[in-house]
Amino acid sequence: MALNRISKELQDLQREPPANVSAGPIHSSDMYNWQATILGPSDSPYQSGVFFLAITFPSDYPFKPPHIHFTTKIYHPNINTNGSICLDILRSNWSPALTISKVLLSICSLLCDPNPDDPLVPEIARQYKHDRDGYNATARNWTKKYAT
Amino acid sequence: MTENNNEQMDVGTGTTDNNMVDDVVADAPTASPSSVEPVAESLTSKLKLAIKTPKEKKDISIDGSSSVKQLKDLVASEFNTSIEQVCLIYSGKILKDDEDLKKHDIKDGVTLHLVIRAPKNDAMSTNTSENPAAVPSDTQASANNPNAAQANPSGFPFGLGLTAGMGNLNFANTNFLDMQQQLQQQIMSNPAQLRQLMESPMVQSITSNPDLLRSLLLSNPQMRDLMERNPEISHLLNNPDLLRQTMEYARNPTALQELMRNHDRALSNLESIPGGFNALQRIYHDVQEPMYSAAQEQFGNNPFTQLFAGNDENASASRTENTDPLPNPWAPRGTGTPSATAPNRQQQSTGVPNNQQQQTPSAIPTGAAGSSPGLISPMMQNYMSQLVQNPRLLESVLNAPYMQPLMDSLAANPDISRQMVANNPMFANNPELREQMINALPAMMEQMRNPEVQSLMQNREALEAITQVQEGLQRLHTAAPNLFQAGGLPAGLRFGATGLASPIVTGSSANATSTTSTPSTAATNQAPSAARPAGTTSSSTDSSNYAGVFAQMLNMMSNQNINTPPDQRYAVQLEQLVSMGFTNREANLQALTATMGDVNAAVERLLAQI
Repeated sequence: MALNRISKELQDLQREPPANVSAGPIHSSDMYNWQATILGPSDSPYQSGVFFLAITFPSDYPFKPPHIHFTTKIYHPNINTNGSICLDILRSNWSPALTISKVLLSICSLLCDPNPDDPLVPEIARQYKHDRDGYNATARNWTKKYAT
Repeated sequence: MTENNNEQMDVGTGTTDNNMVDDVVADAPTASPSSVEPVAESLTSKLKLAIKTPKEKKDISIDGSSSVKQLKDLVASEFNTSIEQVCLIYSGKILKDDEDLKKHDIKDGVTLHLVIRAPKNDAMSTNTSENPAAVPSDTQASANNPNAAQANPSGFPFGLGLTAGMGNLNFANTNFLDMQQQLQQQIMSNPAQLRQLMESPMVQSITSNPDLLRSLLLSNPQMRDLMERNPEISHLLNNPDLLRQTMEYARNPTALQELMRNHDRALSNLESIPGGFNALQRIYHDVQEPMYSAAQEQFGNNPFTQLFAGNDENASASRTENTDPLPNPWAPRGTGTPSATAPNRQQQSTGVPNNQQQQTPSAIPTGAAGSSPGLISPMMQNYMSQLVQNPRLLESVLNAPYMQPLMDSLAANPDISRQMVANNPMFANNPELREQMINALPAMMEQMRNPEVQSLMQNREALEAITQVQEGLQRLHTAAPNLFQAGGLPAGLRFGATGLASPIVTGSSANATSTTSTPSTAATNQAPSAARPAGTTSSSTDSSNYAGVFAQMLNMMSNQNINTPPDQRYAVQLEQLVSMGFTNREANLQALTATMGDVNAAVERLLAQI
């Protein structure tokens, strides 16, 4: 069940990948562990960065959300240093109708528009709210340092 | 589970991170000599690839056998940029120059992402400096994993010997030890049964309490000895998280599989890191070998003792349990050879049915008879009835070598028994009853240790007499129900009437009414009041005291119908969960139903789901 669904998603992703997003299994023998890349959106301080993510599908996917986390360091109010992403659709609001490409696109849009009201890293959220320029500078800096 | 997962994932991320950095670094030198290799004419067809940048999309056709470098070259000229700046991404991976398209399974018609990098600058050097720092932490992270995994195989045989779900065994002619081995084999060969067993609330209450688990493990002299000689092992056992995790894995085979898989992956990742193999070797020498040799030394000394094992001789009998070194718990077994840790656990888990017989005499058996269907399976019920029908079996259960120390330790340590009662979900709804139960415990323990009572339970005639008394009471009850309700009878008799049971009734066992209590327990309880008033030493106040408790308990259980919807049954717990912030009522209910109303276990379950 899970395998079928994952294979189908992979096929779709390879044929018609959404902009800025690419994903696939790390080893073709293991369909449950993927890696993905997100290209930093051009209207964000993450522009021109290539961010890697690790995706692990639970055995009961798509009834349980996939585990997704960044493996590239990124300066973002909703992503902590472990790469964990604070995104509702990855937890409580997961729906089997969602796909990996939709989730990755959501993450992309999270990069453009952080959600400082529900932060994972409060300091960055505070900076995002009160010192946007400082936040942009640091995020750009980190992107340059870790993601290019 | 989740923690472990994270750990494993970190290992994964660490390595992919390195790979990534490697990629980037590798790009720099190999890309700089931008000589175009002649495209080899080959038989393979042309691939049409779509190259996508954030801004535009172009189609490119290239030979299927080309290398990434050739593709990059083509792309660079197509997008008017230099080859150093081209970064192609497919399927979440950056394509490296020295790979060919086949390796990435790039097929006709797929889309590749192109990132046009900023011209190279010194940013790369900072990247490489990050690298060495990452490696040691990786090895450390996965150095913990073998520990977890090592505790793991031993986690599987944990929980053997609890005699749940064994309805298909023929108990009539086997003695208890044989039976136990048979049970173990059965459980080992049937993960579903193991799971069922692990999910029984009694076992869960034990496993959810690491202290208790540890003290049970420690009460085994062999285990203690082992731990004294090998501090590594005692460290493992002293880590409550690890114990809990291990139990969790034993309960959940998919989690176990997942763990094994992750673990394998982590190890293989580790091996590919420079120096990782050495680290692995060290781990093996430091941890695995001493563990194994210790286990072998301890348990593998004399395989022949088993041949002479009899259940009448304590020392040799307890040794038979341990004659083999830690076996592969997944391998099919010829003889019942529990692994090193199994006996301890076994002691504790055989303790479970016994505890029930001893300290909470009617609690679980009655539960088995029907108050809550998930509590103990029908097979357990069947087993109970077989046990009851066969006094010899009961006798051998009681004579089993570890029974005595177990009972002693229970008597010596009222905390354990109290905890068991306190954690028993059956009492969760009724704090009063629990209180009474706890108060009556010491008296009951005393009673159980009384040789008179024990011999009574082995005496067929006495049991029959008790049965007759019960039948008589039953008749009396139907003939004159008011007598009971008015409380006109002495407490002991009243109890006997409430616990209307006979071996015949339970023996047929199709009957699942909650008032049936197994005669063995009835026997114990009635012993002072009905069957042998003079033979027992306990005072009459004692007996009436706990007889009252039983009456109440049985009443409660008959009232607590299976049919009451879970939201009523667990109303109190539901409220607790809501006040803890678990607002999803549906999920709360599910968790409570699954955990038989144990709030703590339910919370853990809920958290695991998030």
